[in-house]
Amino acid sequence: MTRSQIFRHSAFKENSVWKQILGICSTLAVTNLMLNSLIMGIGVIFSLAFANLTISLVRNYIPRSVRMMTQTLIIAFYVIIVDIFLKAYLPAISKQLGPYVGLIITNCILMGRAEAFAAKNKPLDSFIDGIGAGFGYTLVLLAIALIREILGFGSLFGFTILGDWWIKWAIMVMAPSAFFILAIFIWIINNKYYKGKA
Amino acid sequence: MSDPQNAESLSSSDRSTPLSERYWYPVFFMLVVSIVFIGVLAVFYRSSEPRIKRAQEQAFRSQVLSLFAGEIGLLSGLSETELLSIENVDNNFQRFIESICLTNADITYYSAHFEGVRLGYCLDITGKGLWGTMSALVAMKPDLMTVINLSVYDQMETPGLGARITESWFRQQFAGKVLYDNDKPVTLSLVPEDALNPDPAQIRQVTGATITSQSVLKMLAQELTLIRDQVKQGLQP
Repeated sequence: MTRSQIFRHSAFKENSVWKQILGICSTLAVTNLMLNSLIMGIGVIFSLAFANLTISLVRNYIPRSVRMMTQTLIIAFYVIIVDIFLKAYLPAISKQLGPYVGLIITNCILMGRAEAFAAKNKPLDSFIDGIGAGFGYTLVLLAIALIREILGFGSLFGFTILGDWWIKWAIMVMAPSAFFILAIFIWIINNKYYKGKA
Repeated sequence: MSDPQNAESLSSSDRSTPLSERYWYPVFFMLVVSIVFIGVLAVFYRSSEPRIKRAQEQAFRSQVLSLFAGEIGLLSGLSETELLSIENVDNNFQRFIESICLTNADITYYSAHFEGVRLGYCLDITGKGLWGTMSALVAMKPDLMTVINLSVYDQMETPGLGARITESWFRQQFAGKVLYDNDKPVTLSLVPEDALNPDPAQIRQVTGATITSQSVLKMLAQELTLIRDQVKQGLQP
């Protein structure tokens, strides 16, 4: 596979959220605002790409029995770096995201890509795969946040779009709405994109 | 079976096993990897720690100043943006605010002043919200009865619902409220968010966040009273 194929494969064809149904918890939790989703997505892309790169670099030295421990350690390492960076340089956003950044560690997408790709492939390919999977994840977050922020807050990236006449939907602000939107989203994609290709 | 030659060959085959096949290798590997990664992390954290501390302190100072922005602005002519701009926060904090520590009660509160005129006190209170603790700064007039402004600076409430207690329309309802009648806390009650003319003792609540709204009132009635008593005692000559 060429590098661009790897990217398209992990970002779209084998998208972590709509195809593999991974990373659902954070998809439900942070998608009520576009900005939160974007920052979360960037955090995931960064930690996923570099964790993949590092895991791939040491893949031949990792003993099988402690392979998952090592992967988790490396993932946690990059996530904590993102967390410290946000706290030091973007304190306002770090406050907004609260505990969610730390929870990237438990995002199944990172572990999934580490096991499925980085543990068997070359470093640079793994890096591209990480960016691809993170990009696909961010795409889904933004798509859901778009609907939730418009209906729930009447705004986009904090700028008011719908005027005072708009009655805000409280349900869109809470996590349950993401269940419905995500489900509809997956349903549409499965119908349009994968139908007859299985 | 036990001739020395055989024993020799066994131990040499043991010596020739590659490092990665040894039974202790996984433990060793894990130890090395942990030390390396945690070491790098510790260095990175230490190097950005001053920045993080400063950002937190500045955010807090700007929060305290913002509560007195109206009062200070009236006397000094400084606009809120001038008062709170990142370059000036530290200077302004030193100029207008004095931190006072009650060592016996482990309470720190803040006193605002302008050229010798006392503008009020700012008390730091902590109470329970729906999902976790929340902390607020309450600025009060020098009589320690009337609220100037209030700000919930740390909370874990639902974004878009409970977290709306940090919005200005909710906070501004407390401005000018007299919370004490002969040192007894006045009971405030909640009315719906769209109520048109609430009584002085009524607060428009956040729709969909009754528990959070109640928690704020409870925090004012209980925690604020406790701390206020201590501060009052400390102020007595």
